[in-house]
Amino acid sequence: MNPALRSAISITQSLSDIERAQLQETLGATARDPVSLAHALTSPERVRQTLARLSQDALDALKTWVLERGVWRSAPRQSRLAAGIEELGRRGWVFETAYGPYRRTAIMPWELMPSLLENLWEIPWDHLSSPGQERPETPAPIWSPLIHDIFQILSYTRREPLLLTTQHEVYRRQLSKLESLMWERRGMSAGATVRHVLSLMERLDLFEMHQNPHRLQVSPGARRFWQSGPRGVVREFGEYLFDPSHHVWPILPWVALASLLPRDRTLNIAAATAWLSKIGLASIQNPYWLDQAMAELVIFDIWDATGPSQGRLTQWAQSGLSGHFEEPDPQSAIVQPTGEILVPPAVPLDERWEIDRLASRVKSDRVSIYRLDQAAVKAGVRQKLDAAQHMEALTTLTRHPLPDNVRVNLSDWYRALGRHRVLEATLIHSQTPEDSRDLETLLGADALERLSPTDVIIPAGRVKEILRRLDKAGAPMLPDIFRPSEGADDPKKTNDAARPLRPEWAIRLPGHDAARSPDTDEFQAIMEQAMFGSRPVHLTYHVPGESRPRSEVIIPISVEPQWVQAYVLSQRRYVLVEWKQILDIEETEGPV
Amino acid sequence: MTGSGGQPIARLPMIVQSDRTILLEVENPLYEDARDALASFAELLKSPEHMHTYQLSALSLWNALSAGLQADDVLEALNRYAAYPVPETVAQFVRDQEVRFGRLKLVLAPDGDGLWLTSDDALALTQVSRTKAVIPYLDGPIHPGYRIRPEYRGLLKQALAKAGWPVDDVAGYEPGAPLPLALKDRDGSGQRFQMREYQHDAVRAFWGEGRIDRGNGVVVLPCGAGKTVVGLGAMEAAQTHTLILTTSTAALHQWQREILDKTTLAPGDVGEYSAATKDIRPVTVTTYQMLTHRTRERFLHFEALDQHPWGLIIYDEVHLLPAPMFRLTASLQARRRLGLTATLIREDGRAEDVFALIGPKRFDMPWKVLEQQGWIATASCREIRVKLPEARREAYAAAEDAERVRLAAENPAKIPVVEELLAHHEDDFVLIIGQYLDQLEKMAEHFHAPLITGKTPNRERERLYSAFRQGELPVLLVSKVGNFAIDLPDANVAIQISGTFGSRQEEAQRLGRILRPKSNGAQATFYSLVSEDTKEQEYAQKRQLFLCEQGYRYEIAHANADGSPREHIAPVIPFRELER
Repeated sequence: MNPALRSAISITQSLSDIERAQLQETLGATARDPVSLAHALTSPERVRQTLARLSQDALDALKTWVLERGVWRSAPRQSRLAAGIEELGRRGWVFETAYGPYRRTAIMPWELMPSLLENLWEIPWDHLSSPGQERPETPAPIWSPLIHDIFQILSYTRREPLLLTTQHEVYRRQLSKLESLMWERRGMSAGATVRHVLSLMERLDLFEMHQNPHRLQVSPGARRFWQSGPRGVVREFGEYLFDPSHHVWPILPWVALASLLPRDRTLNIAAATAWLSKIGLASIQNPYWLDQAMAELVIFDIWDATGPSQGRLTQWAQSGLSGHFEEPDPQSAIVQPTGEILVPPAVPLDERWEIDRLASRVKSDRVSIYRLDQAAVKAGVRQKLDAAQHMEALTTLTRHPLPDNVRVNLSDWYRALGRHRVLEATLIHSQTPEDSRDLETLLGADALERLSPTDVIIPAGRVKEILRRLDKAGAPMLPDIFRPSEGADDPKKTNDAARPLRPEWAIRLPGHDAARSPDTDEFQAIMEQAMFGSRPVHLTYHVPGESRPRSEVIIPISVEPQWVQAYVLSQRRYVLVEWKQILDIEETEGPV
Repeated sequence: MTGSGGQPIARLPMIVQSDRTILLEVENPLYEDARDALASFAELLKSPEHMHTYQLSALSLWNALSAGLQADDVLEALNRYAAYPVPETVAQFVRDQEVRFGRLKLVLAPDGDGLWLTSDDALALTQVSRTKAVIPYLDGPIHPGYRIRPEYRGLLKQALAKAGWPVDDVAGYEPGAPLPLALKDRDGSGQRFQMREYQHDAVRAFWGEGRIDRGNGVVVLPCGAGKTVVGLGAMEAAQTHTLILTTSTAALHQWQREILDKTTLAPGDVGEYSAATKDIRPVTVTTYQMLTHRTRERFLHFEALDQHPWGLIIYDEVHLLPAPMFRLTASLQARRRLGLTATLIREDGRAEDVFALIGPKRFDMPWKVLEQQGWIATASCREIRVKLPEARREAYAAAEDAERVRLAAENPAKIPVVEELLAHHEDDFVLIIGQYLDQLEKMAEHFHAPLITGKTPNRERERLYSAFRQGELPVLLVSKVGNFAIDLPDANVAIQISGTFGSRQEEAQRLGRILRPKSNGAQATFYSLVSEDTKEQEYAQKRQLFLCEQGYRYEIAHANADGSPREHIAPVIPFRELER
């Protein structure tokens, strides 16, 4: 994911407690929890008040942020843009995201886009929109097309991992099955929907890749994903969809503009793109990219095409993107005596995910239907559940107690399936019965049982010790444990966890650099003295990418709160060195 | 929104799914209002404890439209009770059906020569005229529309229904030979008799004051709700010669008894047309088997009966109408037709043919309502999983698949379990129903109780039924011949020791044997004995599903091979050991 495009809640959640306290003070928020801070940060009223107090540099920086689609691509140091960003940082709007010690980017939450667009430009609504059917202001349903489709694919993958071709594409057979599970969208092929949603899910790290065969499985993060609720889903989804590196076309400003549209009007696409182009948004009028972006917005249930060149946000997007969702109805699933579990639309997503684990899918609709059958019990046994645990887990999710006949059925199926188990044993196979007998003698008490004339079972936990002992006793053998079902070892076999986890991008308040050591003030004083006296100093500092510190004679040119700009005498060039990179400064004797 | 008592409603009771099923929450205060609204245009598929499922199908909408409802009424009802907006695809489907229904009419030809398929919609006529299945029945144009030969009336309706263009048949009926009859105030035993209110309603819905657009259709009532009486009510309304088609000879005799018991007709007015007797009278009762019997490619019995001037034909258990009967019924379209059934679900999926040839559903009454009103007995279903004895378990493991079913069904350990049950129900009237004759014979011998099988002569059957009815026989064993239409008013316990288990009809019928209201208001109990961990238990799972879907309470217990209780998870078997 692009670290430069983050949602307000994602930012406030990433801050440390001290930073949150500082942000609370800056924003004048009533509480310092991430949700309250995010709310204070994006409140339209507060945005208006802050804008009124900003300098022209800061306003220009905001315009640049809007026109560059929610990011600042480059902000030259000591430029007016940098000054503007710094001022915004002091107002509590700008944060710094860091990946590793030296890579930093100034960011603002994407939710600020509509308010900025509205306040920094005069939007000619009469020109950009036409009257349309008035839409009531209702909360977005939790069980919406996008969430449904993500859920369906994850649910399917949980039961049957997605096999990948050598081009890292899901096999056609499985794609067809996924297509049949998608929410029906007017005029949009299910195939396109599956491709887009799969791509989204990969970016959200909902899958993890395994080898032999190459396949996608549900990642452990899926549970956390659903636990974050519909707001969390939208948050993550927004970070994907609005990422400027995801799509050339400016989706975020477009959606922001559409979200400002009065409820009884629809947007004229040609007029709106022309106006956005006029204010400086590049490439918005490119018809190819426009079509691509619109198709994606329709697939993700963001855009409702009300006419050939008109449209507006869907009801779901209008409410959902601002986090206005219907109230979840916990424990509202119903278990019928037929063994069916009916999952109403407002069931919390994590509960739905849990039900999906405990029962077999029958159909997904407004009310999704699951069934407690033998297949569900088999899945339960695989998850090492017993009947009591299975029933208890269900009881915490449903409105009524489990019907008696369902309890009896579950108990009976668990009993039937639990009577016989396939066990894995570690055994030493010998070429001949004579060899095996000799080995048994050498093994002594470690020979647990004889399975056949040539096979002896040994304790699985003591393989290393046993092999060492046998080696010493004159019966050496390869340390590898041979599993017939695996065949020969694949020399190209790589670690299953080859795919890295989602990078953790730290976010902090600008200038709130934990690396600024107590020595910094001392270093700064020495540098300032050297600068004013034009005296060289001996500087020892870390350089990104180098393991050993560098030692140079430099002349400080500019001393700033975060760094020092210096001229390196031996190289005859300027460098920027952050305070935290500096290990030591020694004064040299006299000016050069 | 507020409930009937004025209390605010937290959520609406209905959710309309995009596949046109409708879920209705039973515990909701608006449940009854919504149920009544749904009953007129959707079929109840399942009615388990918490949430009922209805299906909105083309057929259910045609039924509703034929009863005078409009698409807007249907959508208004859905929108009123649905917790979420009705999916656009569903609304579109409802409107589409309205566009199709009634667009085509079948009337008498203006020149009196045959019938005329006509419509105000030229496009509909064009579309129909290009439908392959319909073309053979169109006999030249009469603008706007086509002439239809009277003999194709049924076949045309059948083909049009299959093509999704139900036709409104208002070509009228043959009046039939008149037959004055009335229902008696007191039945043969001298007890006061009158039709119940819902039976009156059913007759009115069917007869429609003799209007040309009524006089055909299906009445849906649960087992034990008195469908026969509705049939008698229809005969009283029609006052014409009537042919009654039933599923078996036993059912035939029951109809005869009921007619003579509850109407003013004399024995000479009521005839039996069966393998034993071929007596055509103003009211004749026959079986489907007789009508579909073929000799040298000819339906001789059908032809013989078809000559008579019947004014009304009654189809008992219409959901069991055998496939050849559809073809024969197609030629009976000029006569008034009444179908009686407990369910419109057909295992073969030919519900559309019933709609086209017999007519739309005219009346439906959920069994729960009748149970609440006391018209049918409250029933509970109990399954007892009986362990196989060791020796039989070994035989079962070694047997072929087909043999396994029988080995499990004939589990000898079921005998001690039945013994326990009979001891508990010693004051009750118990039917023991089975599939396999060997097993039934062993049981009959063990319990010294009479057994009725297909081989039992009719006279002997009647005698045993009568003795059971009189209370002289507390236990009666019956093979699958007892599935249909035997009326045993005081049987309040049924023990199913083996069965085909797969068929929903069979389960409904067997349960129906004990659903008739008890004179003492006692609850009916339906036991099923299955062998544990066998195919039989798997099959029983289907039955469990079906009965739970129907809304019956279903309990399960276990028994050892000697009949003693085991792992008493659900306290449903009244074992004597436990009571002690």
